[in-house]
Amino acid sequence: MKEFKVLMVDDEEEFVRTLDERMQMRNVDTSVALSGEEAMKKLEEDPPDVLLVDLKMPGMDGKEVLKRAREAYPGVQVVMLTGHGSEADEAEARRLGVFEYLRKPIPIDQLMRTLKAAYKKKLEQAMVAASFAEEGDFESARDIMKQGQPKK
Amino acid sequence: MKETLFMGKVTSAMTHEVKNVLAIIRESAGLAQDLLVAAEDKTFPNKERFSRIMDKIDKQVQRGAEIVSTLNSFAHVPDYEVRNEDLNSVLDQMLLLSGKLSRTNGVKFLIEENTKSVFLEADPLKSRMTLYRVLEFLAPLTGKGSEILMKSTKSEKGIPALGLFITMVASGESFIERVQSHPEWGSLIEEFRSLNISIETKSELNAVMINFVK
Repeated sequence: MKEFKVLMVDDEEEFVRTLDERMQMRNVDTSVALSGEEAMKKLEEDPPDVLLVDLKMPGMDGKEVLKRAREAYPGVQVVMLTGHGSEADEAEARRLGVFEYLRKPIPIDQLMRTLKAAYKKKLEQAMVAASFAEEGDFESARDIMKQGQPKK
Repeated sequence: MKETLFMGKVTSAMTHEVKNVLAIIRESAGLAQDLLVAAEDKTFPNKERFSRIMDKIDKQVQRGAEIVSTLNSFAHVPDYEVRNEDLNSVLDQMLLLSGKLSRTNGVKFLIEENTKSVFLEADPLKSRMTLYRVLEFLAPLTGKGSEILMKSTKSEKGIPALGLFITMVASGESFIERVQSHPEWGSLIEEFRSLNISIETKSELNAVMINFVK
């Protein structure tokens, strides 16, 4: 039984395929998308627990993927892993709701810790949202899934 | 300025490419290590040696990534004509970028941590160029095994400055005298004067001061 599901999005195929193998050896259920567009399709077909996305990609870039994923799949936590990041990019990603912003190359243990923390946050949010929904407060439940806390 | 912007832009783009290459090397070496651990093959005669090699690759990738990150931020320096920045961060960046210069001359470059920020509003490329040029001048004069300790400070007049304090292994002729009598010293002073930067020696401290006048 795999621990949790991660969709990895990166146009550097050699990198993402190798990382995929390493994550699978660590009992993570992984899948790979080589572009932002492919990632959006895979998100629709089978939403993961965590999305691990590169920043700069041809076509739909990582920020756009982050934005769309947070909008359409608020339960999915997004971790950005990039070799291209500037401070401004990081600030923008945080504004858009990224769980964590990491820079390549990164030790696998650090990456695993971050992904597990993102998954834990997803579970916690889902539990709190469920308790609001049980009380009939669906609006707050939605806000929690999207922003981590109710608006009011 | 257009030329430096272009150089910076291309260098920055290339550093991103190198980072991706380093990431692939790290993951590939990591995967090889993972497979070795998973196989639990005690008969593999060079298992420990193999592990050591993998560790070495990992450490060097980390070193490469640090260098590339510093090079990337250096490549963005020409993006600003004038920038208000802490001289401590200029020192941090230039310490790594002058590593080769340090090794070639057998001289250790060090930074004395200054907990106080010393802000300088100036052309960030010129301040770095000045520091590098002075290090380039001083390093061969100090001799192998010597140390150059760099510190951000302020002059008596409150002008942002960098102090380069020299500790030499060999004694004898005064280092400051050696600097002052060097044929290039005068032209270096003139070169920086045109940039509103003054360089001076401080015999009592065995130091060279770079004062960023304006």
